[in-house]
This record gives sequence, structure tokens and C-alpha cells, in this order.
Amino acid sequence: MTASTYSHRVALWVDDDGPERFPYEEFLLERSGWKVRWASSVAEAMERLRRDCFDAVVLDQFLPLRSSETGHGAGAWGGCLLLYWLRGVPPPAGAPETTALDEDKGGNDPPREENRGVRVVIVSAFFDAEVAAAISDLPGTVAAFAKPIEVQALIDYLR
Amino acid sequence: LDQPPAEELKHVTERRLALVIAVGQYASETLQPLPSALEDARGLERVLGDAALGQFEIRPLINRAAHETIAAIEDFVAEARTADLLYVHFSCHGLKDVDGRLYFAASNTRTDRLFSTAISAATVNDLMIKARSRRRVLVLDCCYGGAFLKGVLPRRADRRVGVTERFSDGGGFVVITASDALQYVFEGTTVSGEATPSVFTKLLLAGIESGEADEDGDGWIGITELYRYVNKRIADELPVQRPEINNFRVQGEIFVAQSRNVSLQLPLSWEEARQGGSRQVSVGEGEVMLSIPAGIDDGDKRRYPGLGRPGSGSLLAGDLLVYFKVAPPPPSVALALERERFGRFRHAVLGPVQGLTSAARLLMILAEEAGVDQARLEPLIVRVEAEAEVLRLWRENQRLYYSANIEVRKRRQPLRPVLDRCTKRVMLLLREREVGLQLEWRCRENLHLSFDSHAIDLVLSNLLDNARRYCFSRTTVIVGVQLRGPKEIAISVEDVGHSGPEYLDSEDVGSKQLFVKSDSLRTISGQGLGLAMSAAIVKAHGGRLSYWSEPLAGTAGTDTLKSTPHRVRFTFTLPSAQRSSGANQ
Repeated sequence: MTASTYSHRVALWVDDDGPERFPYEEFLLERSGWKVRWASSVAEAMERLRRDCFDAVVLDQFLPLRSSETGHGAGAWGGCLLLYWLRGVPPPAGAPETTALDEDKGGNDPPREENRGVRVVIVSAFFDAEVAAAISDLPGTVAAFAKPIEVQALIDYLR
Repeated sequence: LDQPPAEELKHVTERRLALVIAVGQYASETLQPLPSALEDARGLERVLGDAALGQFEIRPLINRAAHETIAAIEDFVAEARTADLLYVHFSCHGLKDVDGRLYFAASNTRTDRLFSTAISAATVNDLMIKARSRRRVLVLDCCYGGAFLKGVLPRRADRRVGVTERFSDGGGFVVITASDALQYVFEGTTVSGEATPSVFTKLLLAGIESGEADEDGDGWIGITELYRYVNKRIADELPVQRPEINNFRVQGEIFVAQSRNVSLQLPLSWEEARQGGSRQVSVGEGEVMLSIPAGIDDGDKRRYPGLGRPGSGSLLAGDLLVYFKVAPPPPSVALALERERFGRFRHAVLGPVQGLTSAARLLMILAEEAGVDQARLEPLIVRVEAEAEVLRLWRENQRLYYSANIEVRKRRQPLRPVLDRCTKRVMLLLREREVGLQLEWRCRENLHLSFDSHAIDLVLSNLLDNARRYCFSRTTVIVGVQLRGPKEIAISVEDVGHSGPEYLDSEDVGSKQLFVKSDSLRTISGQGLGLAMSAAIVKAHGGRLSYWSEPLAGTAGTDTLKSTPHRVRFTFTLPSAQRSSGANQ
């Protein structure tokens, strides 16, 4: 299945806070023709990005590597590690390793090729300056939105 | 929902008492009037006494004679309890005798009779160190006498002894001086006409009022944060004046005020909404205010300047009117923020605020649509309540965390109303996750115990919130009450969900350093604060908090997380010394 098989566009929203903390954002995105799929960790998002095609990815900056983590094991790198993996760019030295993630589900296997250049929005209540500088150097389009998210601006950007 | 006002938990921690001593008028012609001292006193009374800032009970002592001042200080320290925070502020002339001993000038001070007409620093020191309070702050905005020169008042310098050298004993004692012995202190630029506060006190007040002194953005202004703020700003305004700080046996930070930068108050509960009043949630520039549907009055407009402008709105959800104004900083601003700024409350607060504002905004949209299904509104209203409860607990736990010690006021009373109140409060939130709640009362229901109801309410709320967050959907949380031996009552909260972290000690949760008061707080989210505070409260009651878990057969969880479910139980005990308590098995 690819994103084009839907009559609407599909966004993958990766945030360990879950959809219950974004009902307004999801509601407005759906009114604007988007369908939102949710993932709560880097591992869960990797699995979905290997399996399905998306028109956009909304990515929380502080994200656990696995859903079983109740904290933010990778700290400010959590969401960004997913972005490096998605773009096929090795993460900078010092970033946590992701190779051991969900080995039974493909480990560090790449995403679907169609997802490589997908439009990505990083969201955070707080942007770590080091990480923000690193992601601004990444290939492809990456935008940063602060929480609470100005959802109309997000929709305009995705449009 | 039924919850105790936050203020009622205050007694568990401390009283905040401030004695403001200001002398601007002097009988002796050799001492210049100090109109700025009275202005200082008014400012301190306004800022330190503000319920949203310093939260101090202020005792002003204006233009008093030396013996009256000494007596007032003695009364002040004698009445203090261990948990109290004492703040004493001098705004007056400072003088030294021929031996270099420091005195504070009173209204009757004669410069040639300091011993009998001025307030000896040694006496103040003795009184302060005798106070039972473990946390004492002394701020000396004083000088050594002199005359104005081009609008500034130079004070006599002396190399032999500095102000801070006099205050050298006693635990938990912080002394801040506007300057040391070798410097002058500067007042405002005029003697006559409009009085202005001294530069030092003016900056101190500005740091609290603006919230700029809250360096780490945790919502509290510590005395060392305040000192650093004043020190930095005074270097810009008057580079020659160098304030000093001395800490004597102070462990941790003494918090002198809450910060408006991170003003966090709680949304209304349904009961409160029905009874009137209003609360707000405010973080940075975004805020949500919940109020009864009484319309926006002028007071609201003053307090919430965004109301009525684009970007703000209101909605009626059930009996509750929600005003909101959400103004997130643009990404460019967010990118420039330093890590420290949002460190402590980032995950604890902004997540719930995100959830609360999102639900409130959607409620507004739906409420404006004709024929909206009430069933669609309910989950959003529950979400608002859930986030409000998370914020309430965070705030109460943080309040205790920042206290030097925890004191409980035990009173013999029935346990059942507290349990009912806590379980009722969490019921809706559990329903959101399709989780049931069962109360198993395994002893006589009119059980009376000696405990602090507000503190035990917080313990139970923390344990229930823990269960709510970590249990699996479609399970049941069980609250149990039973006798444990002849002298203990055990209250347990049990759920089926993720196992607890490995660091939990099975026998006594309080025996582990669950929550580390350091930078590590910034790298974790939501682990341990509630449990640590609960353990401390239970310990203060003479009981203990314990943890137990066992794996269950099968797996549960999401597609990507196949977790072994655990039966998890937190149990705390309370002493039940008398058999006449009514408890039986």
C-alpha cells in the first residue's frame, strides 16, 4: 500500500505523548484532507516507515527509542536519529546507536524508498541547540515547530 | 471532581515569615534621612507578600527605636517553627564603632552612643542563630553613614571587618549584603521629592516581579538565583557596588518566591467550577483559563490581556466556560532557548499543557457547531480533567520537593472520606483508558486513624496516578484497606501493567534515593518524584511505602511492544496504635 492509494494524504505522527494530547491538531489535519497515523517510539516509527508510504512525518524531538521506555533514553536525539535513518545519513559521532532496535522486525533495515525524501516536521516543546543545528544540515526539507503547535501554520506548511 | 485546595497542603511544609526593618527617619541630625528605605519596605511588602510571588506573611517595622527593633526580632525568631522560612531584611544606615563592630541605625540612634541606641549586628546574629527554623535569610541593604555626593550616598569604609564576618554561625543561614565593608552603598538619586528604592532592593524586587531571576525556569526563585541576578544587574548599573552572599550550612536552595515566568495554577475542578472562582494554566506566553460561565469582566481582561483579541477564545463545555489564549513562541524563538530554561518542567508540565490546550481548543470548535454530539465532547472534557490532575500532582509534589522537610499535622479522623475522594477523582480518568476501579475495604468502614488528610490524599493520588499511567487498558485497579498486625493499617493500590523500575526496593520504597535533586532530574521524565514525596509523607506518619510485583502469564501492549504484564502493588502503612480505632479484620 502506498500513500497514493488513499484519497487523502497520510501523515505519520511520532510522539510518545500519543494522540490523546493532540486531538485538536488531528481534527484540523483531518479536516484539511490528512489522515494521521500514530507511532510512539523510534522503533515503532521505523517499522511503519518500512511498511507504509507517507506524505509527511511529524516527529517529536524528544522520543524514546522503544515504546517500552518510559523516559527519553536517547534524550534530544530520539526523533533526530529516526530522521538520520530515514534520510540514509549516518548520525554524527556521539549520537546513540540504533542498530539494536527491534532486531526481530528488521533491525536497522532501511525505510521504503518512497519515504526517503518525505517532508518532515520536527516538533518540540524545547529545541536543543546542538540538535537543532545538526538537523538544519540534513538533506531534504525539515521544519521545526514549537509545542503547543500552531496547527494552522503546520497545515499551511504541509500544503 | 473533588480535590483539596492547593493552599491546604501548605501547612505540611512551612510558614513563610518576613520581617522588614526599614529606617528612613532619624532623630539624630548626624544621620541623613533615607527616604529610599521606606520605599524599599513598601516594595518588599508588595512583592514578598504577594500570594503569587513571595507568599510571605510580612511584618513591617518602620522607623522604630533600637530597643523596639531588637524586641521585635526576638519575638519573630522565638515564634518560628523548624519548618518555617525566616526572611529578615534591613534597609537602613549601617555604622561601625571605633573597634570596627557593625551596628544598624534605628530611629533613635546617636552616632556617639551606638551600643545603647543602635542595633548591634552581633545581637541580630545571636537572635538569628537561636531561631528554630532551619532556613533563615538575612538581607542587609545598609550602609556605613555619610552624605550624598552627586546623588549617591557614600558610606564610610573600613578595612578591618566586613558585614558578613559578623554572621558566622548557625545552620541553614544565608546572608546577603548590598555591599561589603570596603564599598559604599548607593541609594536613588534624590533625597527630596519622589522617593525611590535603593538600587540593591530595587533590583531584588525587579528580579522577583519580572521572574527574570528564575534562572533555571523551574518556577521558583532561589536565594542564590536572586543574588546572582542582583549581582549581575548591579554590575551594569553601579559597577563599584558588589553585593556578597554567604551561606552557612545551607543544604539545597532556599526559595524566596515563585516566578511569574512559569506561573502554573491549576484548572478548575468541576466542583470548583460550579461553586465559582477561576484558575489558569499558564506557561510562557500561552495560557488557558477555566472559569464559570460568568462572562469576561474587566478584571479578567486586565489579568489576561489576550482575551478578546485574535488568537483567544472561549467555549462553554457543560457548566464550564473555558477561556484560552495560546501564543506559542515561533520556532525561531524556541530554537534560541537554552536547555536550562525549560529543563525541569519541560516534560512534566508542557506535555499536560499541550494535551489540555489541544482538548480545550477542539472543544471550542465542536461547541460552536450545531447539533454536536455530547458523547463526542465527553472524552475531551475528561482529557482536560486528566491533564489538570497531572498538573495538580506535579505542583503539589514539587512544592514538597522544594521544602526543607515535611511536617504532617495528624488528626484523628475517618480514613474512608479520603479514599472516596481520591478514587472518585481518578474514576473518570481511568474510564478514559477503559480501566475499572475497585475498592476492597477489608476492615470496618468507620475506621478512624491519626493522619494528615491532605498529605495522605497526595500519597493516594500519586499511587493512583501511577497505576493509571502504567496499567494496561481493560484491566482493573484495586484499592485495598486492611489491618496488618495489631498496630498497622495497610492501604494498597494494585494494577496490572508494566513492571516498576528496577531501582524500587521491594520492602521500603523510601529507603532508596528515588529522586535525585540534581541535574539528573533534567534527563528523566516523571520517574520517582511522586513516589519519593509519597514515601516521605508516609515516613513522616511513622509508616512505610513498599512495592511488590509479579509477572503474569501472556503478553500485552502495542504491536511493537510485547510486554510481560505484571501485577504491581504499592502499599503504605499507617500506625493504628489503639484498638479502639474501630478497625477489625
